[in-house]
Amino acid sequence: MDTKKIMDKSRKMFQRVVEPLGHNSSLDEKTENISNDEASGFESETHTKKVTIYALTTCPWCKKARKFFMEKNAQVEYIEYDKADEETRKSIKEECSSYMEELAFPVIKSGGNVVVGYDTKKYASLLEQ
Amino acid sequence: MDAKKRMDQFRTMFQRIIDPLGYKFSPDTELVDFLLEQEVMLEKEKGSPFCPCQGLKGEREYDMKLVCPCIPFHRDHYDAMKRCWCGLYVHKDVEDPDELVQISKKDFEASRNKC
Amino acid sequence: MVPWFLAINESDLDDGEKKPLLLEGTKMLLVRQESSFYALSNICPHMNCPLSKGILDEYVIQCLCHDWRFDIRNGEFLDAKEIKIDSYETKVTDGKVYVNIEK
Repeated sequence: MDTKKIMDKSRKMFQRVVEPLGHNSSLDEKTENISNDEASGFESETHTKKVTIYALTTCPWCKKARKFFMEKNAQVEYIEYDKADEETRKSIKEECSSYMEELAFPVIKSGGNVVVGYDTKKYASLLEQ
Repeated sequence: MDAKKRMDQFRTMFQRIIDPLGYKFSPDTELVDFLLEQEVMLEKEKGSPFCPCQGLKGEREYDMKLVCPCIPFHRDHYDAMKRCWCGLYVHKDVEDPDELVQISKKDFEASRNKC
Repeated sequence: MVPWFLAINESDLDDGEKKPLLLEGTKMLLVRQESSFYALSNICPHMNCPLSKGILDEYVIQCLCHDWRFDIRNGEFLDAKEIKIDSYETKVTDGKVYVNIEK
């Protein structure tokens, strides 16, 4: 699949997520960066937290984690390890090796903090920090 | 073979493995259906029904320990959570799987070392 | 009914060798190691792969499909002893190997 197709697919996916939350994703067709696209839906929010989620397409807890942070109006960068290119996979693998031996998803990063796994209590304190 | 049929085969085969280990399929049937469907896809794509919630490293020795049911290879960790990492299986006494949380292996090991 | 069935001639299998057998409708794996014979179910309990295609290392057979390892002496899965493959008694009489098909 080429980049354009992935972007289109991502747009549709993000739209599905933000719509029920009463947001318009207002995705900018010209914008190249998917994560910025997603964040642009929340321009009106001030002091939004930036959150990066490493995920797998097959992992329901990753989707739940994304939903949690989007509902809290965080700026979510959602990267799927299993569908990422070789270079991204390698860098995620290397980065994660400093948090864990295994590659358990989801991994949530915000500021300098990392949470491995789906745990809404820990997520809430991530947003407070 | 269609996906539905393969999912049923997984159910039968994996039940045999998890039962003597003290686990059962999660009572959350929607979650179970979703995860088994992912495993059928993973088997088609990668040759084995790997854990849908853990990443592969491309090293056989590591990856094979993630073929479902992967409980035997992560038993202490899963026993502490009363569930496997993806929540497909829970301890037999668990009635409400939503009460269980994922505890990272690192946190689990840290808490174990404290005891 | 006498549960002992003739499996093979003793000379048919060398030390460190294995052989799949169909004995009274049961798929079995016969292994010879250190001059002793071991009979087990040939079906890996994980996903039904034939263990006869696996790798034998001393008293351990490793399934070719997903590397699950079993002790040929008692059928135990090395990573969780609660999981066992059926194993059967064997005896050698007059150069012939017999298997007791009762578990």
